[in-house]
Amino acid sequence: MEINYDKLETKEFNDYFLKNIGPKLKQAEKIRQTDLANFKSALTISVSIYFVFILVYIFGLIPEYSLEKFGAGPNSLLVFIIPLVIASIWPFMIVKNYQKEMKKMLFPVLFKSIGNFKFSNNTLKSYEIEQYNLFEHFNQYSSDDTITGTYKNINLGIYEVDLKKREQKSEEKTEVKRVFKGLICKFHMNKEFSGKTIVLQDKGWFTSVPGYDNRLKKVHLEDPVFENHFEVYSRSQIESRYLLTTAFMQRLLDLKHKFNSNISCCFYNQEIIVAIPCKTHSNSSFDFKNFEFDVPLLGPISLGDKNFFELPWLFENMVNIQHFKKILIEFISVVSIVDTLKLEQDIGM
Amino acid sequence: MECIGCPQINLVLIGLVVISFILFGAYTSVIRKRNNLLEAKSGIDVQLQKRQNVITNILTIAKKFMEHEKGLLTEITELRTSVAKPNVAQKEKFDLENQLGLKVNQLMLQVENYPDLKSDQTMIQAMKTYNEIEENIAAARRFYNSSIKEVKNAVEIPPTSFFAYLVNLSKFPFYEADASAAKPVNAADFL
Repeated sequence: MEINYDKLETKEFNDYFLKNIGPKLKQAEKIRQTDLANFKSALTISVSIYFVFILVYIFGLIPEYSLEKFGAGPNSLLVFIIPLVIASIWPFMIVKNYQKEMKKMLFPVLFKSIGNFKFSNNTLKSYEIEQYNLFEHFNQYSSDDTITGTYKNINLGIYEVDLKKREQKSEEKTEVKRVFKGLICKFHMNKEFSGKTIVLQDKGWFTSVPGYDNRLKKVHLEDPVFENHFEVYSRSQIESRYLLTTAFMQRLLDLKHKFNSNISCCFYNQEIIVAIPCKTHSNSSFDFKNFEFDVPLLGPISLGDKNFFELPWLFENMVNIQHFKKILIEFISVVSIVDTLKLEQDIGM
Repeated sequence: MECIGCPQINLVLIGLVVISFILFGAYTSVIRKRNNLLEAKSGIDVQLQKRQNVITNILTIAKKFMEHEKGLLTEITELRTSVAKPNVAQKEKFDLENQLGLKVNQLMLQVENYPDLKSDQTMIQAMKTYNEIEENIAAARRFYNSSIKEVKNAVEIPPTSFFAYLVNLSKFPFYEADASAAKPVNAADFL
């Protein structure tokens, strides 16, 4: 059964949505309103705590109002530490828990509405990601959504990941650099192979194989357009050409244009792994919804959500079928990689 | 009196060193290309050998069922024997392999007329394996042609052409499809 965008406009889908997901959306909306009220209260209290702390600190600097005059020592401001920590974390904890709860409630039934797909928390292990040799070394890894299932009898897994590298530049300064943020999509490959072949974006002189695998050698292919966009490395020159037929190379180019993104892929362990980076936001105007805070103890949080499969954020009405259709459109465009690459066909091309 | 520290002599020495490096680089490049070509040729040979083994299986299975195709089976057996002979020139070997491939494809078409053979599990598996090997042969040929291109460039462009002549890097032929493979197919012949 083909999945396509037209299915989302059918009466059948709308009826299914209203019957199975509609009640959950109403329930979710009640939870959202409660969490929004809690968030506003938490924010108010947190801001108040900070305000009081700042006031006490400023007044303490004035000799007439110094803390010693009131019998308090210079370390008395330490009593503010715990409230300040709570004030810093509490509102964001509400947002993070809200996102988690909404996804757990809505995504399983949402993705099931268009096929045999399951939303889960099983993520890729970081050593698995390193094996693909698609990304530079990273030492911070967070994952968000995971969807597994089958489409046209092809087993697939879609994993939203965020890879970063924390480097100690000097004794006082550490730098965190983003290595990759986006989707890692795994599909069972329709050809038997035993080695590893990777297809990376062509960066000219600066292209090299991330990670360490000295068996990967450069492969020069015949298609000049493909060679302009990608660079191929493989453990076997013949196997790489067996996998990357002229027709397949064209399909990879079509895929790159479809996502309008610097995709890369790896053939490994009977699977094709496609990495799709999410588009970075141009920062000409500040996008508060997707601005990300790195909160101690909790990790990165954005008041919206990560860039793929975004839920309505805390300030938006949850009962909005169009928003969920948008999520499904994103999902369909990823699953249709099977159609673009013709992975379900066994024609040797 | 010779002036060892003279700038002109130093420049000449530096120039000689640079030219030596360039020539050494050209020489190693030629050797690398030759070794790549030998690797590519060996890759094709490995796949062709696998194909030979599968063809043996297919012939063994087909003989049981295809009593009326004795002529075709005999042709295939003879071609197999010719291909396996040692000291066959490269171009002739490619031609023989092409002919063998065409005959086996003909045999595969004839299998359609024998329902018992067509549904035989060992035959199905053998045909699937054969098709995979054909895909690998196609990939090996592409690698071979890519290596030939590198060698041709080395033979025809100086300074590598000088070293190519020294190591006797003769021009290997490109792997070309048989003329009949390029003919348009008339579906009416089969339906």
